[in-house]
Amino acid sequence: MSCEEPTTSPTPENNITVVSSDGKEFLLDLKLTEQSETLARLISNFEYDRTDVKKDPVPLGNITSAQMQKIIEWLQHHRYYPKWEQNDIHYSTSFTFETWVEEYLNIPNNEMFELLNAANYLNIPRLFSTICRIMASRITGKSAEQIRTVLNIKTDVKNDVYTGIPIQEDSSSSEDGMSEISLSPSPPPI
Amino acid sequence: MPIFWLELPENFRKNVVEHLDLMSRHSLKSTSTSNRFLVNSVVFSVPRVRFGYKEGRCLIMIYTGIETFLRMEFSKCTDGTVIHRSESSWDPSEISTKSHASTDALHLSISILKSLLANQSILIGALELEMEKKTGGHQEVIRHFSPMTSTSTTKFRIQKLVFVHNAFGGCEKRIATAICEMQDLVGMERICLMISSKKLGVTRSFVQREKAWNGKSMVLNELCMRSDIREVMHFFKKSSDRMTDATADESPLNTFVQSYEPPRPSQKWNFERVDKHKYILRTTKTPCGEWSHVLRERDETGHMPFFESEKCGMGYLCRTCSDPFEYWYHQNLSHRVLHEPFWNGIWDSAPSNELAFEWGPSFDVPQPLSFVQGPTANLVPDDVDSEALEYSEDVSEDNEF
Repeated sequence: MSCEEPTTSPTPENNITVVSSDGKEFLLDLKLTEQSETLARLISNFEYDRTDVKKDPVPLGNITSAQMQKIIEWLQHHRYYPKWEQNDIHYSTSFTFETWVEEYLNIPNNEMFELLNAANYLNIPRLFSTICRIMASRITGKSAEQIRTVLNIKTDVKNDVYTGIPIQEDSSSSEDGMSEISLSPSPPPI
Repeated sequence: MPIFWLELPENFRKNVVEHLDLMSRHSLKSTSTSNRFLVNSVVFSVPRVRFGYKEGRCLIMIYTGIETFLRMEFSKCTDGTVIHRSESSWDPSEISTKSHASTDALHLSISILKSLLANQSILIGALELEMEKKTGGHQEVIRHFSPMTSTSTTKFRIQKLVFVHNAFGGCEKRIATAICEMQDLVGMERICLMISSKKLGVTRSFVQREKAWNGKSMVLNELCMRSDIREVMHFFKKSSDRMTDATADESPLNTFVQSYEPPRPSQKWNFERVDKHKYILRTTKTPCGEWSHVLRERDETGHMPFFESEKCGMGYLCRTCSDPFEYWYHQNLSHRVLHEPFWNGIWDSAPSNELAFEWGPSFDVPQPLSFVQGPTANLVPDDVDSEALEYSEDVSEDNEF
Protein backbone atom coordinates (compact mmCIF):
# COMPACT_ATOMS: atom_id res chain seq x y z
CA MET A 1 0.00 0.00 0.00
CA SER A 2 1.27 3.40 -0.86
CA CYS A 3 -1.50 4.96 1.20
CA GLU A 4 -0.76 5.78 4.79
CA GLU A 5 -2.49 8.19 7.11
CA PRO A 6 -1.39 10.33 8.79
CA THR A 7 2.27 10.38 7.95
CA THR A 8 4.94 11.75 10.22
CA SER A 9 7.92 10.12 8.59
CA PRO A 10 9.98 12.06 6.06
CA THR A 11 8.34 12.11 2.62
CA PRO A 12 9.97 9.62 0.30
CA GLU A 13 11.30 11.00 -2.96
CA ASN A 14 8.68 9.33 -5.11
CA ASN A 15 5.67 10.30 -3.01
CA ILE A 16 3.56 13.37 -2.42
CA THR A 17 1.20 14.15 0.42
CA VAL A 18 -2.40 15.18 -0.20
CA VAL A 19 -4.67 16.56 2.50
CA SER A 20 -8.41 15.88 2.49
CA SER A 21 -11.06 18.45 3.43
CA ASP A 22 -11.28 17.00 6.95
CA GLY A 23 -7.54 17.38 7.46
CA LYS A 24 -6.29 13.84 6.96
CA GLU A 25 -3.04 13.35 5.12
CA PHE A 26 -2.47 10.66 2.53
CA LEU A 27 0.88 9.68 1.11
CA LEU A 28 0.53 9.04 -2.61
CA ASP A 29 2.99 7.27 -4.86
CA LEU A 30 3.80 9.49 -7.86
CA LYS A 31 3.08 6.51 -10.10
CA LEU A 32 -0.53 6.52 -8.86
CA THR A 33 -0.99 10.23 -9.47
CA GLU A 34 -0.40 9.69 -13.18
CA GLN A 35 -4.03 8.52 -13.40
CA SER A 36 -5.25 11.87 -12.13
CA GLU A 37 -4.81 14.61 -14.70
CA THR A 38 -5.26 17.26 -11.99
CA LEU A 39 -2.52 15.85 -9.75
CA ALA A 40 -0.24 15.02 -12.67
CA ARG A 41 -0.45 18.59 -13.92
CA LEU A 42 0.17 19.96 -10.45
CA ILE A 43 3.20 17.74 -9.97
CA SER A 44 4.52 18.77 -13.35
CA ASN A 45 3.95 22.48 -12.69
CA PHE A 46 5.66 22.41 -9.29
CA GLU A 47 8.31 19.95 -10.48
CA TYR A 48 7.51 17.62 -7.60
CA ASP A 49 8.95 14.76 -9.62
CA ARG A 50 12.42 16.22 -8.99
CA THR A 51 14.28 15.02 -5.94
CA ASP A 52 15.73 18.44 -5.10
CA VAL A 53 12.35 20.19 -4.89
CA LYS A 54 10.61 20.50 -1.51
CA LYS A 55 7.12 18.98 -1.73
CA ASP A 56 4.45 20.78 0.20
CA PRO A 57 1.27 18.89 1.09
CA VAL A 58 -1.44 19.34 -1.55
CA PRO A 59 -4.78 20.41 -0.09
CA LEU A 60 -7.82 18.77 -1.68
CA GLY A 61 -10.54 20.91 -0.19
CA ASN A 62 -13.39 19.24 -2.10
CA ILE A 63 -12.59 15.67 -1.14
CA THR A 64 -13.28 14.03 2.20
CA SER A 65 -10.99 11.42 3.70
CA ALA A 66 -13.55 8.67 3.02
CA GLN A 67 -13.71 9.66 -0.62
CA MET A 68 -9.93 9.90 -0.83
CA GLN A 69 -9.60 6.43 0.63
CA LYS A 70 -11.96 5.11 -2.05
CA ILE A 71 -10.11 7.00 -4.77
CA ILE A 72 -6.77 5.57 -3.68
CA GLU A 73 -8.27 2.09 -3.76
CA TRP A 74 -9.18 2.71 -7.41
CA LEU A 75 -5.76 4.12 -8.26
CA GLN A 76 -4.03 1.15 -6.66
CA HIS A 77 -6.10 -1.36 -8.59
CA HIS A 78 -5.40 0.37 -11.90
CA ARG A 79 -1.76 1.07 -11.16
CA TYR A 80 -0.48 -1.08 -14.02
CA TYR A 81 -3.32 -0.52 -16.47
CA PRO A 82 -2.44 1.08 -19.81
CA LYS A 83 -2.99 4.78 -20.11
CA TRP A 84 -6.66 5.70 -20.53
CA GLU A 85 -7.70 6.26 -24.12
CA GLN A 86 -10.69 8.52 -24.65
CA ASN A 87 -11.65 6.79 -27.87
CA ASP A 88 -11.66 3.27 -26.57
CA ILE A 89 -15.11 2.62 -28.01
CA HIS A 90 -15.32 -0.99 -26.90
CA TYR A 91 -14.61 -0.09 -23.33
CA SER A 92 -16.59 3.09 -23.16
CA THR A 93 -19.87 1.80 -24.56
CA SER A 94 -20.06 -1.56 -22.85
CA PHE A 95 -22.22 -2.24 -19.81
CA THR A 96 -19.98 -5.14 -18.88
CA PHE A 97 -17.65 -4.53 -15.96
CA GLU A 98 -14.94 -6.58 -14.35
CA THR A 99 -15.91 -8.17 -11.07
CA TRP A 100 -13.66 -5.93 -9.04
CA VAL A 101 -15.27 -2.81 -10.52
CA GLU A 102 -18.77 -4.12 -9.89
CA GLU A 103 -17.91 -4.72 -6.23
CA TYR A 104 -16.08 -1.43 -5.93
CA LEU A 105 -19.06 0.52 -7.27
CA ASN A 106 -21.71 -1.53 -5.51
CA ILE A 107 -22.58 1.51 -3.45
CA PRO A 108 -25.69 3.68 -3.08
CA ASN A 109 -26.22 6.35 -5.71
CA ASN A 110 -25.52 9.09 -3.19
CA GLU A 111 -22.06 7.71 -2.45
CA MET A 112 -21.47 7.17 -6.13
CA PHE A 113 -22.35 10.77 -6.90
CA GLU A 114 -19.87 11.90 -4.22
CA LEU A 115 -17.23 9.65 -5.69
CA LEU A 116 -18.05 11.04 -9.09
CA ASN A 117 -17.52 14.58 -7.90
CA ALA A 118 -14.15 13.53 -6.49
CA ALA A 119 -13.21 11.79 -9.75
CA ASN A 120 -14.29 14.85 -11.68
CA TYR A 121 -12.27 17.17 -9.42
CA LEU A 122 -9.16 15.02 -9.65
CA ASN A 123 -9.85 14.35 -13.33
CA ILE A 124 -9.50 10.56 -13.30
CA PRO A 125 -11.04 9.73 -16.68
CA ARG A 126 -11.19 5.95 -16.30
CA LEU A 127 -13.09 6.22 -13.03
CA PHE A 128 -15.27 9.02 -14.37
CA SER A 129 -16.21 7.07 -17.47
CA THR A 130 -16.85 3.91 -15.48
CA ILE A 131 -19.23 5.70 -13.13
CA CYS A 132 -21.02 7.15 -16.18
CA ARG A 133 -21.48 3.70 -17.62
CA ILE A 134 -22.60 2.26 -14.30
CA MET A 135 -25.12 5.03 -13.92
CA ALA A 136 -26.34 4.58 -17.50
CA SER A 137 -26.75 0.86 -16.89
CA ARG A 138 -28.89 1.62 -13.83
CA ILE A 139 -31.40 3.67 -15.80
CA THR A 140 -31.36 1.84 -19.13
CA GLY A 141 -34.71 0.21 -19.85
CA LYS A 142 -36.50 2.08 -17.09
CA SER A 143 -39.60 4.23 -17.37
CA ALA A 144 -39.54 7.94 -16.67
CA GLU A 145 -41.01 7.42 -13.20
CA GLN A 146 -38.43 4.76 -12.34
CA ILE A 147 -35.62 7.02 -13.54
CA ARG A 148 -36.93 9.82 -11.33
CA THR A 149 -36.60 7.50 -8.36
CA VAL A 150 -33.16 6.20 -9.28
CA LEU A 151 -31.67 9.62 -9.99
CA ASN A 152 -33.56 11.54 -7.34
CA ILE A 153 -35.05 13.86 -9.92
CA LYS A 154 -37.58 16.46 -8.92
CA THR A 155 -40.27 16.54 -11.56
CA ASP A 156 -41.35 19.70 -13.29
CA VAL A 157 -43.81 18.01 -15.60
CA LYS A 158 -47.45 17.19 -15.05
CA ASN A 159 -49.07 13.81 -15.27
CA ASP A 160 -51.77 13.01 -17.76
CA VAL A 161 -55.03 13.00 -15.83
CA TYR A 162 -56.26 9.88 -17.57
CA THR A 163 -53.17 7.76 -17.78
CA GLY A 164 -51.05 9.08 -14.94
CA ILE A 165 -48.21 9.29 -17.42
CA PRO A 166 -46.00 12.37 -17.35
CA ILE A 167 -46.51 14.86 -20.11
CA GLN A 168 -44.41 17.79 -21.16
CA GLU A 169 -45.56 21.34 -20.86
CA ASP A 170 -44.05 22.59 -24.06
CA SER A 171 -45.70 22.77 -27.45
CA SER A 172 -45.26 19.10 -28.28
CA SER A 173 -46.94 17.86 -25.13
CA SER A 174 -49.72 15.97 -26.84
CA GLU A 175 -47.33 14.05 -29.06
CA ASP A 176 -45.12 13.12 -26.16
CA GLY A 177 -48.09 12.02 -24.15
CA MET A 178 -49.07 9.70 -26.94
CA SER A 179 -45.62 8.36 -27.46
CA GLU A 180 -45.19 7.68 -23.78
CA ILE A 181 -48.33 5.61 -23.74
CA SER A 182 -47.08 3.19 -26.29
CA LEU A 183 -43.35 3.42 -25.82
CA SER A 184 -42.89 2.98 -22.13
CA PRO A 185 -40.31 0.19 -21.69
CA SER A 186 -42.65 -1.74 -19.43
CA PRO A 187 -46.11 -1.02 -20.73
CA PRO A 188 -48.95 -2.09 -18.51
CA PRO A 189 -51.28 -4.72 -19.93
CA ILE A 190 -54.50 -3.62 -21.55
CA MET B 1 -27.36 14.98 2.51
CA PRO B 2 -28.77 13.69 -0.78
CA ILE B 3 -27.18 14.80 -4.02
CA PHE B 4 -29.57 15.63 -6.82
CA TRP B 5 -29.04 14.64 -10.44
CA LEU B 6 -29.16 18.25 -11.53
CA GLU B 7 -26.32 19.14 -9.15
CA LEU B 8 -23.94 16.74 -10.87
CA PRO B 9 -21.43 18.06 -13.39
CA GLU B 10 -22.96 18.60 -16.82
CA ASN B 11 -20.20 16.63 -18.52
CA PHE B 12 -21.13 13.65 -16.35
CA ARG B 13 -24.83 13.91 -17.17
CA LYS B 14 -24.04 14.20 -20.87
CA ASN B 15 -21.71 11.24 -20.67
CA VAL B 16 -24.46 9.14 -19.08
CA VAL B 17 -26.86 10.13 -21.86
CA GLU B 18 -24.27 9.10 -24.45
CA HIS B 19 -24.52 5.56 -23.14
CA LEU B 20 -28.30 5.33 -23.26
CA ASP B 21 -30.33 3.58 -25.90
CA LEU B 22 -33.11 5.37 -27.74
CA MET B 23 -35.96 4.40 -25.44
CA SER B 24 -34.03 5.16 -22.26
CA ARG B 25 -33.21 8.55 -23.72
CA HIS B 26 -36.90 9.04 -24.34
CA SER B 27 -37.72 8.07 -20.76
CA LEU B 28 -35.10 10.42 -19.36
CA LYS B 29 -36.44 13.21 -21.55
CA SER B 30 -39.83 12.68 -19.98
CA THR B 31 -38.61 13.14 -16.42
CA SER B 32 -38.13 16.91 -16.49
CA THR B 33 -37.73 19.86 -18.77
CA SER B 34 -34.05 20.23 -17.94
CA ASN B 35 -33.45 16.58 -18.82
CA ARG B 36 -35.27 17.12 -22.10
CA PHE B 37 -32.76 19.85 -22.94
CA LEU B 38 -29.93 17.66 -21.68
CA VAL B 39 -30.90 14.68 -23.84
CA ASN B 40 -31.46 16.91 -26.85
CA SER B 41 -27.93 18.23 -26.48
CA VAL B 42 -26.41 14.78 -27.03
CA VAL B 43 -26.42 13.45 -30.59
CA PHE B 44 -27.73 9.93 -31.05
CA SER B 45 -27.24 7.99 -34.27
CA VAL B 46 -29.90 5.65 -35.54
CA PRO B 47 -28.61 3.59 -38.45
CA ARG B 48 -31.98 2.89 -40.03
CA VAL B 49 -35.67 3.59 -39.59
CA ARG B 50 -38.55 2.08 -41.51
CA PHE B 51 -41.95 3.64 -41.90
CA GLY B 52 -44.72 1.85 -43.72
CA TYR B 53 -48.34 2.60 -44.54
CA LYS B 54 -50.55 0.01 -46.14
CA GLU B 55 -54.25 -0.80 -46.02
CA GLY B 56 -54.76 1.46 -43.03
CA ARG B 57 -51.93 -0.15 -41.07
CA CYS B 58 -48.71 1.63 -40.17
CA LEU B 59 -45.29 0.38 -39.25
CA ILE B 60 -42.46 2.03 -37.38
CA MET B 61 -39.25 0.09 -37.07
CA ILE B 62 -36.24 1.73 -35.50
CA TYR B 63 -32.95 -0.11 -35.79
CA THR B 64 -30.30 0.93 -33.31
CA GLY B 65 -27.81 -1.78 -34.24
CA ILE B 66 -27.43 -5.31 -35.51
CA GLU B 67 -30.33 -7.44 -34.25
CA THR B 68 -31.45 -4.48 -32.16
CA PHE B 69 -34.70 -2.78 -33.03
CA LEU B 70 -37.92 -1.33 -31.75
CA ARG B 71 -40.94 -2.30 -33.78
CA MET B 72 -44.42 -0.85 -33.57
CA GLU B 73 -47.31 -1.74 -35.79
CA PHE B 74 -50.54 0.24 -35.74
CA SER B 75 -53.89 -1.00 -36.92
CA LYS B 76 -57.47 0.11 -36.47
CA CYS B 77 -59.78 -1.56 -34.02
CA THR B 78 -63.32 -0.84 -32.88
CA ASP B 79 -62.20 1.45 -30.06
CA GLY B 80 -59.36 3.23 -31.82
CA THR B 81 -55.93 1.97 -32.72
CA VAL B 82 -54.14 -1.16 -31.59
CA ILE B 83 -50.37 -0.93 -31.19
CA HIS B 84 -48.26 -4.05 -31.28
CA ARG B 85 -44.84 -3.34 -29.83
CA SER B 86 -41.74 -5.51 -29.68
CA GLU B 87 -38.07 -5.00 -29.06
CA SER B 88 -35.34 -6.96 -30.81
CA SER B 89 -37.48 -10.06 -30.98
CA TRP B 90 -39.84 -11.79 -33.37
CA ASP B 91 -41.16 -14.07 -30.67
CA PRO B 92 -44.96 -13.53 -30.60
CA SER B 93 -44.98 -14.00 -26.83
CA GLU B 94 -42.74 -10.95 -26.47
CA ILE B 95 -45.03 -8.65 -28.42
CA SER B 96 -46.99 -6.35 -26.16
CA THR B 97 -50.29 -4.90 -27.25
CA LYS B 98 -51.90 -1.63 -26.29
CA SER B 99 -54.84 0.32 -27.53
CA HIS B 100 -55.11 4.02 -28.10
CA ALA B 101 -58.23 6.13 -28.42
CA SER B 102 -57.06 7.71 -31.66
CA THR B 103 -58.92 6.36 -34.64
CA ASP B 104 -56.35 7.68 -37.08
CA ALA B 105 -53.51 5.18 -37.10
CA LEU B 106 -51.56 7.19 -39.65
CA HIS B 107 -51.69 10.38 -37.63
CA LEU B 108 -50.83 8.52 -34.43
CA SER B 109 -47.86 6.69 -35.92
CA ILE B 110 -46.42 9.76 -37.59
CA SER B 111 -46.84 11.72 -34.36
CA ILE B 112 -44.90 9.07 -32.49
CA LEU B 113 -42.26 8.95 -35.20
CA LYS B 114 -41.81 12.70 -34.96
CA SER B 115 -41.86 12.65 -31.19
CA LEU B 116 -39.09 10.09 -31.10
CA LEU B 117 -36.89 11.09 -33.99
CA ALA B 118 -37.63 14.55 -35.35
CA ASN B 119 -35.02 16.30 -33.32
CA GLN B 120 -31.69 17.93 -33.97
CA SER B 121 -30.03 15.44 -31.63
CA ILE B 122 -31.14 12.39 -33.64
CA LEU B 123 -29.18 11.56 -36.77
CA ILE B 124 -30.85 8.90 -38.90
CA GLY B 125 -28.61 6.95 -41.25
CA ALA B 126 -31.47 5.95 -43.54
CA LEU B 127 -35.22 6.37 -43.46
CA GLU B 128 -36.92 3.69 -45.50
CA LEU B 129 -40.44 4.45 -46.67
CA GLU B 130 -42.86 1.80 -47.78
CA MET B 131 -46.29 2.57 -49.14
CA GLU B 132 -48.98 0.84 -51.04
CA LYS B 133 -49.59 2.20 -54.47
CA LYS B 134 -53.02 3.74 -54.26
CA THR B 135 -54.58 6.95 -55.38
CA GLY B 136 -54.10 9.73 -52.88
CA GLY B 137 -52.10 7.65 -50.43
CA HIS B 138 -48.91 9.58 -50.96
CA GLN B 139 -50.62 12.89 -50.45
CA GLU B 140 -52.20 11.60 -47.25
CA VAL B 141 -48.83 10.67 -45.79
CA ILE B 142 -47.17 13.89 -46.91
CA ARG B 143 -50.06 15.85 -45.38
CA HIS B 144 -49.43 14.26 -41.98
CA PHE B 145 -45.74 14.99 -42.25
CA SER B 146 -46.38 18.48 -43.54
CA PRO B 147 -46.48 20.41 -40.22
CA MET B 148 -42.75 19.84 -40.27
CA THR B 149 -42.37 22.39 -42.99
CA SER B 150 -43.40 25.17 -40.63
CA THR B 151 -40.21 25.08 -38.60
CA SER B 152 -36.90 23.62 -39.62
CA THR B 153 -36.20 22.31 -36.15
CA THR B 154 -38.89 19.67 -36.36
CA LYS B 155 -37.65 18.00 -39.50
CA PHE B 156 -35.79 14.74 -39.48
CA ARG B 157 -32.04 14.67 -39.80
CA ILE B 158 -31.72 11.95 -42.43
CA GLN B 159 -28.62 11.05 -44.38
CA LYS B 160 -30.30 8.79 -46.88
CA LEU B 161 -33.92 8.59 -47.90
CA VAL B 162 -34.85 5.13 -49.13
CA PHE B 163 -37.98 4.35 -51.10
CA VAL B 164 -39.19 0.81 -51.28
CA HIS B 165 -39.96 -0.30 -54.82
CA ASN B 166 -42.84 1.87 -56.04
CA ALA B 167 -43.41 3.92 -52.90
CA PHE B 168 -43.75 7.63 -53.52
CA GLY B 169 -42.94 7.21 -57.19
CA GLY B 170 -42.63 10.62 -58.78
CA CYS B 171 -42.76 12.63 -55.56
CA GLU B 172 -39.41 11.73 -54.00
CA LYS B 173 -38.16 15.29 -54.04
CA ARG B 174 -41.37 16.59 -52.56
CA ILE B 175 -41.26 14.26 -49.59
CA ALA B 176 -37.54 14.83 -49.13
CA THR B 177 -38.16 18.56 -48.96
CA ALA B 178 -41.04 18.06 -46.54
CA ILE B 179 -39.38 15.85 -43.95
CA CYS B 180 -35.58 16.10 -44.31
CA GLU B 181 -33.06 18.63 -43.09
CA MET B 182 -31.50 19.15 -46.48
CA GLN B 183 -27.99 19.82 -45.19
CA ASP B 184 -27.92 16.31 -43.70
CA LEU B 185 -29.38 14.53 -46.70
CA VAL B 186 -26.66 12.88 -48.75
CA GLY B 187 -28.80 11.04 -51.22
CA MET B 188 -31.86 9.03 -52.09
CA GLU B 189 -32.18 5.41 -53.00
CA ARG B 190 -34.91 3.24 -54.39
CA ILE B 191 -34.57 -0.42 -53.58
CA CYS B 192 -36.34 -3.62 -54.44
CA LEU B 193 -35.58 -7.22 -53.70
CA MET B 194 -35.86 -9.99 -56.19
CA ILE B 195 -36.69 -12.87 -53.93
CA SER B 196 -35.93 -16.51 -54.27
CA SER B 197 -37.53 -19.52 -52.70
CA LYS B 198 -34.17 -21.20 -52.45
CA LYS B 199 -31.96 -18.63 -50.81
CA LEU B 200 -32.14 -16.11 -48.00
CA GLY B 201 -29.04 -14.03 -48.62
CA VAL B 202 -28.53 -11.31 -51.18
CA THR B 203 -25.92 -12.30 -53.72
CA ARG B 204 -26.21 -9.70 -56.45
CA SER B 205 -27.21 -6.13 -56.87
CA PHE B 206 -27.82 -3.87 -59.83
CA VAL B 207 -27.02 -0.28 -59.08
CA GLN B 208 -28.14 2.50 -61.36
CA ARG B 209 -26.89 5.98 -60.54
CA GLU B 210 -29.07 8.80 -61.74
CA LYS B 211 -28.36 12.45 -62.19
CA ALA B 212 -27.82 14.08 -58.82
CA TRP B 213 -30.47 16.43 -57.48
CA ASN B 214 -29.16 19.51 -55.67
CA GLY B 215 -25.99 17.60 -54.93
CA LYS B 216 -27.91 14.61 -53.55
CA SER B 217 -27.09 11.29 -55.16
CA MET B 218 -29.93 9.34 -56.71
CA VAL B 219 -29.50 5.59 -56.83
CA LEU B 220 -31.69 2.76 -57.97
CA ASN B 221 -30.69 -0.50 -56.32
CA GLU B 222 -32.12 -3.85 -57.25
CA LEU B 223 -31.01 -6.52 -54.82
CA CYS B 224 -31.17 -10.07 -55.94
CA MET B 225 -31.31 -13.33 -54.00
CA ARG B 226 -31.29 -15.39 -57.13
CA SER B 227 -28.21 -16.52 -59.01
CA ASP B 228 -29.73 -16.75 -62.39
CA ILE B 229 -28.26 -15.84 -65.74
CA ARG B 230 -31.50 -14.01 -66.56
CA GLU B 231 -30.74 -11.37 -63.94
CA VAL B 232 -27.35 -10.73 -65.50
CA MET B 233 -28.90 -10.43 -68.91
CA HIS B 234 -31.56 -8.14 -67.54
CA PHE B 235 -28.93 -5.88 -66.06
CA PHE B 236 -26.91 -5.58 -69.24
CA LYS B 237 -30.01 -5.05 -71.33
CA LYS B 238 -31.14 -2.34 -69.01
CA SER B 239 -27.70 -0.78 -68.90
CA SER B 240 -27.47 -0.84 -72.65
CA ASP B 241 -30.82 0.93 -72.95
CA ARG B 242 -29.79 3.43 -70.31
CA MET B 243 -26.59 4.31 -72.13
CA THR B 244 -28.47 4.65 -75.42
CA ASP B 245 -31.18 6.86 -73.99
CA ALA B 246 -28.96 9.07 -71.84
CA THR B 247 -28.99 12.72 -72.76
CA ALA B 248 -25.92 14.82 -73.37
CA ASP B 249 -25.93 16.39 -69.93
CA GLU B 250 -26.05 13.02 -68.17
CA SER B 251 -23.22 10.68 -67.37
CA PRO B 252 -24.99 7.46 -66.37
CA LEU B 253 -23.12 4.79 -64.48
CA ASN B 254 -24.57 1.37 -63.83
CA THR B 255 -22.92 -1.29 -61.70
CA PHE B 256 -23.48 -4.99 -61.43
CA VAL B 257 -22.21 -6.50 -58.18
CA GLN B 258 -21.84 -10.16 -57.50
CA SER B 259 -20.57 -11.91 -54.38
CA TYR B 260 -18.85 -15.26 -54.57
CA GLU B 261 -20.56 -18.39 -53.40
CA PRO B 262 -18.66 -19.98 -51.83
CA PRO B 263 -16.19 -17.22 -50.91
CA ARG B 264 -12.95 -17.08 -52.86
CA PRO B 265 -10.35 -15.66 -50.48
CA SER B 266 -7.60 -16.68 -52.88
CA GLN B 267 -9.13 -14.73 -55.77
CA LYS B 268 -6.46 -12.45 -57.17
CA TRP B 269 -7.19 -8.82 -57.88
CA ASN B 270 -8.01 -8.51 -61.55
CA PHE B 271 -9.24 -5.64 -63.70
CA GLU B 272 -10.48 -5.73 -67.24
CA ARG B 273 -11.80 -3.02 -69.51
CA VAL B 274 -13.88 -4.02 -72.50
CA ASP B 275 -15.36 -1.84 -75.22
CA LYS B 276 -18.85 -3.14 -75.94
CA HIS B 277 -19.61 -0.72 -78.76
CA LYS B 278 -22.58 0.89 -76.97
CA TYR B 279 -20.78 1.14 -73.68
CA ILE B 280 -17.59 0.46 -71.74
CA LEU B 281 -17.50 -2.44 -69.31
CA ARG B 282 -15.02 -2.14 -66.45
CA THR B 283 -14.90 -5.36 -64.45
CA THR B 284 -12.94 -5.81 -61.24
CA LYS B 285 -12.47 -9.07 -59.41
CA THR B 286 -11.17 -9.17 -55.86
CA PRO B 287 -11.40 -11.58 -52.91
CA CYS B 288 -14.50 -9.59 -51.87
CA GLY B 289 -16.37 -10.38 -55.08
CA GLU B 290 -16.66 -8.84 -58.50
CA TRP B 291 -18.33 -5.79 -59.89
CA SER B 292 -18.78 -4.35 -63.34
CA HIS B 293 -19.30 -0.71 -64.16
CA VAL B 294 -21.14 0.09 -67.35
CA LEU B 295 -20.82 3.54 -68.83
CA ARG B 296 -20.45 5.43 -72.06
CA GLU B 297 -16.91 5.93 -73.30
CA ARG B 298 -17.42 9.69 -73.41
CA ASP B 299 -18.20 9.71 -69.66
CA GLU B 300 -15.23 7.61 -68.62
CA THR B 301 -12.86 10.50 -67.95
CA GLY B 302 -15.41 12.20 -65.74
CA HIS B 303 -15.91 9.09 -63.63
CA MET B 304 -12.20 8.32 -63.42
CA PRO B 305 -11.66 9.95 -59.99
CA PHE B 306 -14.45 7.74 -58.64
CA PHE B 307 -12.91 4.62 -60.14
CA GLU B 308 -9.45 5.46 -58.91
CA SER B 309 -10.64 6.02 -55.35
CA GLU B 310 -12.81 2.92 -55.30
CA LYS B 311 -11.24 0.24 -53.13
CA CYS B 312 -14.21 -2.10 -53.06
CA GLY B 313 -17.23 -1.74 -55.29
CA MET B 314 -19.27 -4.45 -53.62
CA GLY B 315 -21.34 -2.02 -51.59
CA TYR B 316 -23.75 -3.68 -49.15
CA LEU B 317 -22.73 -7.10 -50.38
CA CYS B 318 -19.22 -7.00 -48.97
CA ARG B 319 -18.89 -8.64 -45.59
CA THR B 320 -15.40 -7.23 -45.15
CA CYS B 321 -15.55 -3.66 -46.43
CA SER B 322 -19.12 -2.51 -45.88
CA ASP B 323 -20.48 -1.17 -42.64
CA PRO B 324 -21.39 -4.20 -40.47
CA PHE B 325 -24.92 -2.93 -39.90
CA GLU B 326 -25.49 -2.22 -43.58
CA TYR B 327 -24.24 -5.68 -44.50
CA TRP B 328 -26.41 -7.34 -41.87
CA TYR B 329 -29.47 -5.31 -42.80
CA HIS B 330 -29.36 -6.02 -46.51
CA GLN B 331 -28.47 -9.66 -46.10
CA ASN B 332 -31.52 -10.06 -43.88
CA LEU B 333 -34.03 -8.25 -46.07
CA SER B 334 -35.39 -11.55 -47.19
CA HIS B 335 -36.34 -12.43 -43.61
CA ARG B 336 -39.32 -10.16 -44.01
CA VAL B 337 -40.86 -12.98 -45.97
CA LEU B 338 -40.88 -14.96 -42.75
CA HIS B 339 -41.41 -12.31 -40.09
CA GLU B 340 -43.65 -9.73 -41.67
CA PRO B 341 -45.12 -10.96 -44.93
CA PHE B 342 -47.70 -8.16 -44.82
CA TRP B 343 -44.97 -5.59 -45.43
CA ASN B 344 -43.96 -6.98 -48.76
CA GLY B 345 -43.49 -3.76 -50.69
CA ILE B 346 -39.80 -4.36 -51.16
CA TRP B 347 -40.31 -7.63 -52.94
CA ASP B 348 -40.19 -7.88 -56.62
CA SER B 349 -41.46 -11.39 -56.79
CA ALA B 350 -42.57 -11.19 -60.35
CA PRO B 351 -40.79 -13.52 -62.72
CA SER B 352 -37.71 -11.99 -64.20
CA ASN B 353 -39.18 -11.68 -67.63
CA GLU B 354 -41.94 -9.50 -66.21
CA LEU B 355 -39.68 -7.35 -64.12
CA ALA B 356 -40.70 -3.75 -64.31
CA PHE B 357 -39.11 -1.22 -62.06
CA GLU B 358 -40.38 2.29 -62.04
CA TRP B 359 -38.13 4.97 -60.75
CA GLY B 360 -40.69 7.67 -61.28
CA PRO B 361 -41.12 10.18 -64.06
CA SER B 362 -39.06 12.83 -62.35
CA PHE B 363 -35.87 10.91 -62.88
CA ASP B 364 -36.18 10.59 -66.60
CA VAL B 365 -35.62 6.89 -66.64
CA PRO B 366 -37.04 4.92 -69.51
CA GLN B 367 -39.95 3.02 -68.08
CA PRO B 368 -41.17 0.49 -67.70
CA LEU B 369 -37.81 -1.21 -67.75
CA SER B 370 -38.82 -4.60 -68.93
CA PHE B 371 -36.76 -7.65 -69.23
CA VAL B 372 -36.53 -8.84 -72.80
CA GLN B 373 -36.06 -12.46 -73.54
CA GLY B 374 -34.09 -14.27 -76.16
CA PRO B 375 -32.16 -11.81 -78.28
CA THR B 376 -30.67 -10.05 -75.29
CA ALA B 377 -28.46 -13.02 -74.57
CA ASN B 378 -25.76 -11.46 -76.70
CA LEU B 379 -25.63 -8.53 -74.30
CA VAL B 380 -24.04 -10.65 -71.65
CA PRO B 381 -20.30 -10.00 -71.59
CA ASP B 382 -18.23 -12.54 -73.39
CA ASP B 383 -16.26 -13.38 -70.29
CA VAL B 384 -19.33 -14.23 -68.22
CA ASP B 385 -19.55 -17.95 -67.68
CA SER B 386 -23.25 -18.60 -68.12
CA GLU B 387 -23.15 -21.95 -66.43
CA ALA B 388 -21.29 -20.59 -63.46
CA LEU B 389 -23.96 -17.94 -63.04
CA GLU B 390 -26.73 -20.47 -62.81
CA TYR B 391 -28.09 -21.11 -59.39
CA SER B 392 -26.13 -23.72 -57.55
CA GLU B 393 -28.15 -26.51 -56.01
CA ASP B 394 -25.61 -26.80 -53.25
CA VAL B 395 -27.50 -24.69 -50.77
CA SER B 396 -26.96 -25.17 -47.09
CA GLU B 397 -29.97 -26.15 -45.06
CA ASP B 398 -29.63 -23.03 -42.97
CA ASN B 399 -30.45 -20.85 -45.91
CA GLU B 400 -33.49 -22.72 -47.05
CA PHE B 401 -36.96 -21.62 -46.22
